[in-house]
Amino acid sequence: MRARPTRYGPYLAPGVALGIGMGGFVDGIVLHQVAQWHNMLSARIPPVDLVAMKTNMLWDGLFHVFAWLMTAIGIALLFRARGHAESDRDTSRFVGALAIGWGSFNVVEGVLDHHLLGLHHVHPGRDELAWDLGFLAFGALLVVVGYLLVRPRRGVAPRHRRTAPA
Amino acid sequence: MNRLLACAVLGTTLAAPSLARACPDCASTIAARAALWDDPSFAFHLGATTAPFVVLGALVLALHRLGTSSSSGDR
Repeated sequence: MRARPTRYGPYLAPGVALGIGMGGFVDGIVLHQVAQWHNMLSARIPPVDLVAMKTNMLWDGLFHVFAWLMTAIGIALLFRARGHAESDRDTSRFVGALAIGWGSFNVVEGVLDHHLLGLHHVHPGRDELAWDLGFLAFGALLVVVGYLLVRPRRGVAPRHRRTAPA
Repeated sequence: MNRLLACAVLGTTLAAPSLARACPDCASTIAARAALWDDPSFAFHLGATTAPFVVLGALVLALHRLGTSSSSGDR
């Protein structure tokens, strides 16, 4: 028995999972490693000596492990989705799903790690709250833009896979 | 002369990684690495690092169910 695509299509979940993974990598690579604005535990264990730096490096690495796993799940779901006879393989909808994934990563990670658990802040310092709120706002914007691209459109029939001529 | 220079460059290039590898054997580095696992808050840190991905994993699962229905067979 094969799952049948609904009006959202089978590419929504793979796109969102890949967006979450890529959003995690953007955070980890750009903000943790390249810009070095923060590390995973930098608000709890400020990286001021070798042990503290290596501790943060360990948790940055584990954060990347989970981002990698989410990306792998996205690839697996994408691989499974390819077999659907009816599939709306619409580029804009897939990009929308990626945006929802990236945005939801920012929102969930921002609320939990920045605000509730206080593990780190986007850009520690005098304006750290503004940076944290900006991170959340950017995530929310991505979710909204993604939803606008993904939502079922009235009067637009789902695309069907092109079949080989007999 | 050029051959000598090339050998010097090649030698330096080959030696550099082994010089860099020497650092992990330093006593201070070994001590720092051992101290990583003496974290009294390890469980909290692991839970906190995992939490966003658990929430987002549940979201992906819900969207997977929304995007496909398993109640019908092949058409």
